[in-house]
Amino acid sequence: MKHKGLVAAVASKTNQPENEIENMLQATIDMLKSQLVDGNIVNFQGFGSFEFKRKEERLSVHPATKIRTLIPPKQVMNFRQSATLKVKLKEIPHHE
Amino acid sequence: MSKEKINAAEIVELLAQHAAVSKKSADDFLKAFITTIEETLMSNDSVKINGLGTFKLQWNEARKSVDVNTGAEIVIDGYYKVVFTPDAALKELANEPYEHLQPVLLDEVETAEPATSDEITEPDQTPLKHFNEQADEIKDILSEINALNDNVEPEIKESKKNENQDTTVKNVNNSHSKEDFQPEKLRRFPSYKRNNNNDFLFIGIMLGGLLIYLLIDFDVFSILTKYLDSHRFRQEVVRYPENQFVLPDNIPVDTLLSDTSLLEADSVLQQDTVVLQKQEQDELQLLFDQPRVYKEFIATEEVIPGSRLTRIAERHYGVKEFWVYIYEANQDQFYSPDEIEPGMVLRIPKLNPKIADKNNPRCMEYALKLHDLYLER
Repeated sequence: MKHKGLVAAVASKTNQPENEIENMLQATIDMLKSQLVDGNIVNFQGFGSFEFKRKEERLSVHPATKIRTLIPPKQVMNFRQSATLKVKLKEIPHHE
Repeated sequence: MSKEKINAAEIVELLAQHAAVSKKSADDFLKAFITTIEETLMSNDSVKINGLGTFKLQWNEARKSVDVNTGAEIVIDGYYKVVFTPDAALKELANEPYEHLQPVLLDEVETAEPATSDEITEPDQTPLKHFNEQADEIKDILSEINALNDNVEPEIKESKKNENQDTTVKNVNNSHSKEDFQPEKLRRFPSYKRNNNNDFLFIGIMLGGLLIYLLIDFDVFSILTKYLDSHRFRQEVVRYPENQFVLPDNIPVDTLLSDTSLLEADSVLQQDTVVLQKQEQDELQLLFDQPRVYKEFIATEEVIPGSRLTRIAERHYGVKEFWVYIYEANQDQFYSPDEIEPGMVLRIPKLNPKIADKNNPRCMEYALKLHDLYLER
């Protein structure tokens, strides 16, 4: 499902015009980003939490050339699903 | 540095503030938002949010493990997990505090040296410099070729051009290898002992990359020279009207060439062979440039979960790079080549063996070019 589909689905659920939902969604994203930049964990109950995590610097060795490279520290986006969501997901059968 | 956890109530409050709406509508929106995402995920679909990223289900296979208390073997069932892939903008935002840092090459050191922060923050600009220098040289070569084009004497022009090209290319090669050397030396830490063996390996790899780069350049040259040749023969025929050359526009270049080559006996042999090779390549290029129409199909295939275009291509053509042609033949079904969905019925086109020749590097190169083109969209 793409962005537009999501907006349409939420709009029909809340009985509100799509452009309003679009604005709200944008506000949510902006709010989420500003909180994350401030170093907070944003937890959506029943869904999961978003967090910026710091990865420490490390030394990597190229296995063939043995050239060692120092990889600097970085910060990455991390999403952790909530326990309730995990239980829910167990119910769907695996289809391959 | 402890992190503060923002919970549901606070999110609602912040959102109401941010979007200037009542708390109730913010709450309603969030609930509907979360449940919609959940429902979509439950139906095993991905959810893409512009400016944020993509939520997807990932299947983790069942695996064996050991109960830490009893030591008995247990089986952990396979399960689905929600994974979130941030889009490029969010990734950059996340890494903002560290974005000025670059990986640093440490050469062979006897003892592991903990790097100081100074070393890390050193911006590594040599690749950029390289690129600029290369661009300058290419410009020079192009202007030289253009200058030659104005030259009136065709015979001298041909030989001169060849010479010139050769020498310029050699020059490029030489100057590059020199440049490769110097920044390398600068980057080394003077007090460290060097391991010669590994140095040679590294230089070899650099030279190899350069060679590939030059080969790509040559491709450009071949197109250029092709253009120059056709230009030249037109001029030539116009200059000898008394020889009764009829010049309808649609005469192919090679017949013209055989006529004119009768006049200049010296260079006939050489020219002919050169042109033959060129012609072969050009035919291929023409095939590439033609819009491909797929009428014949060797098979149809229904997409199952976990299928990839590359795998399908490998099965049918033996080469995974040729997936682009399957994509082309079924373009009406795709939104983007990444999004192949179970249940789609793909038609596998019959390919022209000249285009899909896995032993011809040009074909592979062209397929890769298409690959880049389609993934960019």
